[in-house]
Amino acid sequence: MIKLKRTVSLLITILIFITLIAGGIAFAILFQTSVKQQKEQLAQTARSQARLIESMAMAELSHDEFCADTLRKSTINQIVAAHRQFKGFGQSGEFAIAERVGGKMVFIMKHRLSSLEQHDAIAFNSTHAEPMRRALNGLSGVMTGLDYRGKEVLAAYEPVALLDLGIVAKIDLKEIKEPFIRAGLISGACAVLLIILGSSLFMLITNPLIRRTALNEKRFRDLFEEIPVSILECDFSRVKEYLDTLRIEGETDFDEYLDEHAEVIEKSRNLVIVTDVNQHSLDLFSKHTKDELIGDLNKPFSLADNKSLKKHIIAILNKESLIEEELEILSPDGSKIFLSERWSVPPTDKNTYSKVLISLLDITKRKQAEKELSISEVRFRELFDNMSSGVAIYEAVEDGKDFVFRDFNKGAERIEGIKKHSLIGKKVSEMFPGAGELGIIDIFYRVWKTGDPLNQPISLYSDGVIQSWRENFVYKLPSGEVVAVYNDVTKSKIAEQAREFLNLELGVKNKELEQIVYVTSHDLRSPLVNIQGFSKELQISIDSLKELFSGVDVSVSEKMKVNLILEDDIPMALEYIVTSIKKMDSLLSGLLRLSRFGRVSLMVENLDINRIISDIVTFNEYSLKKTDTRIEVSDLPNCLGDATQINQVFSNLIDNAIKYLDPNRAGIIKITGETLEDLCVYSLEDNGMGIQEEHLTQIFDLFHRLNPESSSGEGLGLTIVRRILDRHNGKITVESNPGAGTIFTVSLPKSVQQTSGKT
Amino acid sequence: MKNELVILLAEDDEGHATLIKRNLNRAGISNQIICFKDGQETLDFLFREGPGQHRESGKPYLLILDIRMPKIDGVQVLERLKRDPELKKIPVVMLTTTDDPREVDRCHRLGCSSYLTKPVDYERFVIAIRQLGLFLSIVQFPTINGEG
Repeated sequence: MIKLKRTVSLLITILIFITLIAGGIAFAILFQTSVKQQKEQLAQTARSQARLIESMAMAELSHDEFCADTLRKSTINQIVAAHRQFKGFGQSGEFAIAERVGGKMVFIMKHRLSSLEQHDAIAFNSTHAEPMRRALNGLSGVMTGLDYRGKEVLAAYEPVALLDLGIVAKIDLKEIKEPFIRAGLISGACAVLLIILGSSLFMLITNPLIRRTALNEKRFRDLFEEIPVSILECDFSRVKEYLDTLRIEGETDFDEYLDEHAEVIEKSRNLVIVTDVNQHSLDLFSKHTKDELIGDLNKPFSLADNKSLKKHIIAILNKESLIEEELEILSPDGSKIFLSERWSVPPTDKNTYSKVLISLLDITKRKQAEKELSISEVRFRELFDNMSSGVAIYEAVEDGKDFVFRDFNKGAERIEGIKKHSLIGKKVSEMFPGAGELGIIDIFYRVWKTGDPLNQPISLYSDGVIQSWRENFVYKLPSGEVVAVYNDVTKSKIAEQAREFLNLELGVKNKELEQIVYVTSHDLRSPLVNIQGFSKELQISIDSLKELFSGVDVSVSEKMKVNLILEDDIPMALEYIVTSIKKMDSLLSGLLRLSRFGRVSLMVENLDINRIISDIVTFNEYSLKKTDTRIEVSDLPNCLGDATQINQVFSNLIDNAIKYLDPNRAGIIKITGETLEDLCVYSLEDNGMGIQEEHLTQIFDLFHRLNPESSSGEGLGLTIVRRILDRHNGKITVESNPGAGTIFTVSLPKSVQQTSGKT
Repeated sequence: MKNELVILLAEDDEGHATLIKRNLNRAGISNQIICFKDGQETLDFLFREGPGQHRESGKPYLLILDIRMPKIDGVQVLERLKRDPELKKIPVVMLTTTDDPREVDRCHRLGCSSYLTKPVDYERFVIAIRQLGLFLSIVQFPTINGEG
């Protein structure tokens, strides 16, 4: 901006000078012309005066030739007298007449500064009165020189021949100059004023222009520097000149030519000059100052980038002014940088190639993204085609009242038995007449309208031809298309229905079974009570009979017979009956208990197993003491379960352990526990008799007893344990070493807030 | 004796009824025992409905009630009885083959006076019945009035 202003100021100054010079010249010419006119006038005046005087003198002399002197005097006097009234011309114009007297010039008449009578004399060789001297010397002419007063005058001099006088008509040079000087000064002043005014106006008008220009300049500079594109301004003119010298225009394939003449590229390379770069170029090429890039083309581009240069050369050879291409360069750290290059020549430099703009855009990220995108595109396309679900993409038509197929994957082809090409572009309502009734078009519309995905739960599609169960997940793409991911769940729906039916049936059967167990065990006891009761009644009757019979007198043999019946046969029969009843009763009550465990609803809570075990140990204290059994309990984690039932589990297990101890050694029962993920695992280890491998799978069976003779119980303990654990989502496993001991492992769900240890 | 306690025995199993009666006799209980075959008969007697014998006013009664009976079971009889402001005073001894704690609990909730499990073990049954007889001989029973 300052530069521009200075230029404007300089322009104005030049203008002033030119005006002044032009004015000066004009005035000089006018002055010259005026002086010339004045000169002619003066010369004419002087000459006419001289002739007048001469003619006067001639006239006098013709009267009397002899009294010349007097006559001369008289003539002079007449002249003087004639001039007395004459005040001179102009301000300083006058006539002067002088004669030569000895070495002096004696002025007979002067108009201005001295009286006419005063006859001054000036030495003939004085520097003053040069015109008079010339006149007296008989010369005629016009000159500028000093007059008798020593002032510079313009004077016409003329000799008066008859009277030996010299006449000078003169005017002060100053008088001639004065109007010009005044006019010059006035016009000069006016000119300066006008120029100043004009300049001011000019400045006033140009200032905004200057400012705007400066602003634009700054804007473009800023743009150039700040634009996130690397811009290199290069001069290819020397390359152009060099290429012109090669005279290879006739060549048809420049590409091939350059491949064969690598030296051309090499030479051209050194001829390119980088003239300017922008800020972004520094970042791109990892440089700190522009000087690191400006100058040689080798600075930004390494030799490896000759491919790009080759294209530039071909462009110059083809007289092209624009190339757009992509290229790769290596960054200082060795990684590849992908660039989008635009090599363009402004129209003004089209012929010389002296200014070429190379803009480079770093597209590495885009390239990578494109690469990743293409990988993911392939990935998703594969997924789209290979997924088992059907995927259909629709576009809304008729303002969402219907939808048109846009894409259809292989899964959908398989489900529908329709090829993609036969339904693309077709309407849903046309291809699937039952879609409206299924409600799926309505769902498409809602998704299309709101953009919120919707799930259509399993519904039955039916159009009179096809009938199948469909499950749709519908969402909207950013493009506005609607996607339905769906499955034909007909098979699984049928299976599910069958399963539901089975489950229901199973539940009914289970309930029925439990009812049967309950009712039978209950009702079976009734007759047992009778059998037992009346057996006892029979016993009582027999006792009475025996008493009665003892008093009756019968033969010994008969008595023995009766005794055998009354003492042996009947009591034995009764004994069997009673034993069987007891056994049956025990079995029935076992069944009852088992069915009860299945029917009781569970009260699941956090259980303090340490407490439960210690209660059981206390309860069994007597039998432990009796069997000389030691029980070792470590700290046990808390689990989730029904207190009564879990108590039953551990009671049964401890009971069993005591029951099946090896009588030959002191019993040891170890109870340990740990938490594994979301389970509590308890382990009961005894050093009892152990279980034969072939029995391990049977021990949990109903009424299975290992050695019925040596121990009591119905053989239900472990069955109940497993039943309870089943209902708790728990598990029981057993490992045994016959003769050494058995380990039962029980796992139960972990308590909600696990606080291991005693509470 | 007009105010002698009458034992009402609701028991569908005749064998059981016989055994109970015999054992009560052996325990020295000589009170009148009226047997019913099912819940309906029992209710008819107590509520004086239908044909057959009906309850008499002003007599004390004790009801020994088997749970498992045809038509109307013992629990239903107990319920009906306890809903009646007068009849609810009759002491009821539940008698059953099961010792299911839930059933026991249910009967106690409904207001039975005692609960006996019929044991298959005859000795225990006898003991139970005799204890009941002993109980009957020492307890003062309320007389049941009611209209009619």
